[in-house]
Amino acid sequence: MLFRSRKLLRTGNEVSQMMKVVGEEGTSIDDFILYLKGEYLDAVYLQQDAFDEVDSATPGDRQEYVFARILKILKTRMHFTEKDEARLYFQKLTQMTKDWNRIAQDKPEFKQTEELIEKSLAEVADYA
Amino acid sequence: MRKVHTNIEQIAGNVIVVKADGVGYRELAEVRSPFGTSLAQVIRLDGERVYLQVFAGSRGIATDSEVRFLGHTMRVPFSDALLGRVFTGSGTPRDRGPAITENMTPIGGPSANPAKRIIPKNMVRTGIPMIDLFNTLVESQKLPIFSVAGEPYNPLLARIAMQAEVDVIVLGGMGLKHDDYLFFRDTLESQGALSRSVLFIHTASDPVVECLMVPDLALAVAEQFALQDKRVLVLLTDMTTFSDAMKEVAITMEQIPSNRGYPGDLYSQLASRYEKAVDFDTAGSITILAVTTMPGDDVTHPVPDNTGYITEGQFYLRNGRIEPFGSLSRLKQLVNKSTREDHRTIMDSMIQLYASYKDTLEKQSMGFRMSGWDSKLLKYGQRFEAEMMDLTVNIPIEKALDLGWAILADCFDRAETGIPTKLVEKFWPK
Repeated sequence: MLFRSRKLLRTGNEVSQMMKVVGEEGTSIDDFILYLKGEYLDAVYLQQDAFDEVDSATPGDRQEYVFARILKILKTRMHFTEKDEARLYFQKLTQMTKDWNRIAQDKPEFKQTEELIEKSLAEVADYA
Repeated sequence: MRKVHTNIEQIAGNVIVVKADGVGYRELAEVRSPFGTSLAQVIRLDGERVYLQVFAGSRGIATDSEVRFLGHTMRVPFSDALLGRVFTGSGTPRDRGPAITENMTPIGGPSANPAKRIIPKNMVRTGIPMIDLFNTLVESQKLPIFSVAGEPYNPLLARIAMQAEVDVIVLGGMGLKHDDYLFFRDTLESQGALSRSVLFIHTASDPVVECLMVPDLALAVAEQFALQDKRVLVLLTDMTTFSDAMKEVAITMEQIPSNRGYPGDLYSQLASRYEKAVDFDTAGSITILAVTTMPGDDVTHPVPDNTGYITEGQFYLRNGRIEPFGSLSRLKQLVNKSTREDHRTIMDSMIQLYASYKDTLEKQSMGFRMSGWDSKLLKYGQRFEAEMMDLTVNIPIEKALDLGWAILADCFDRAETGIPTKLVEKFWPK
């Protein structure tokens, strides 16, 4: 699991380096999604909001729980027709996940937000 | 009546040597020569041999010139009459006003007792969004402005002197061009801020030793005001000139030079000045903002390098703006939690988006097609630079936060900024 996400971070970064040379238009949508997934993992799991009471100190079991959930998102094959559409989706997903990070685990909103994330994932998942 | 010495043994540069006893380190003396009377300061004691640095230079001094020790170190007068006045680096009036001799206090004393200090907790409002919002200045903070020749650091200091919400401003100018001195005086006067300011000005044509006195004079006066429950802001420009003056004196004293010719105690010398910054538990406070010019924009130069280890962060002045990357007020987290609940979020989000804008600019300069997101960032970056980063913008922090929301709402959709939904719902302009 760790190996897989580390690899994703690395490939995501490689794509972003490549885009600096060939531009966004020269990158395939699949690579672009890899890049967005890498950025997403960085933004919602590696970064914390140290100003937030909940997110500034995350207990170990919650870290494991959230990480498993995020891994599932990252493993999902997604279908987008446009890069802008993909970017917008990931911006919204990042926003939701960050909000999730800021909710205490024992609150009912925690489960609600998790379901919201799952629902939005179902909209873009490519089961074909 | 004190003894008059007329047996000068040696004259080398501006340093003269006389044999005397009962003289203390840093004590002042008067040297009389056909050119007039000048102050001199003891800079080295070697048995009976007393080394004196003559402020006005050794020109005209002969071996039989009269040296009279004053029995005290450099002192500065203190009273409310100092406000609105301009003095030289030897503490004499520069503005043709009457000399002040009340409450003579020695300069260069020890820094405040740690037990009398409190943990910094008050913000200094300057009306400049790049300071108030993004790198809040805190009472009792010591902060350098790292700058390069040609940057508007003196206009920035003058602006802070006019706008800062403090009780007293003490300005110490070292090696100023005469124009710069007049600029400070006239700007403060025209804005009515001179009446709450004391200026100690050493210009480039004044004796080098007086340059060394300026920070000590300014800080001694600031300390007296602070003890009277005043919130004092000390503005120093420029500490690199001060360090160069130290270098010059150290070399005439034949000290072994250290890194790039600066004296080996450069760090301690700078620290003993910056350490005067204090927030007293039962009185006022001293906050220090000091310009440090970096020769050749080189941050590894000994002066900015040593300064960086003493101070609590730094402002980088670059292209006429306070650069958000690299600038840091190390104490801001002590105050920005109690301004407004959206302060920290706006501070983080706006800088994060500005960094993305910089990436987009890079992309644009390479000739790549701009996506919809890129155009949004470009619009945002331009508004941010024009309305927030411009140093002439003068708005209180609450207005700056509202402006931040307005700019974000104008350029982005709610979900694109990464701001917590709770705050978006409360503050996002409808």
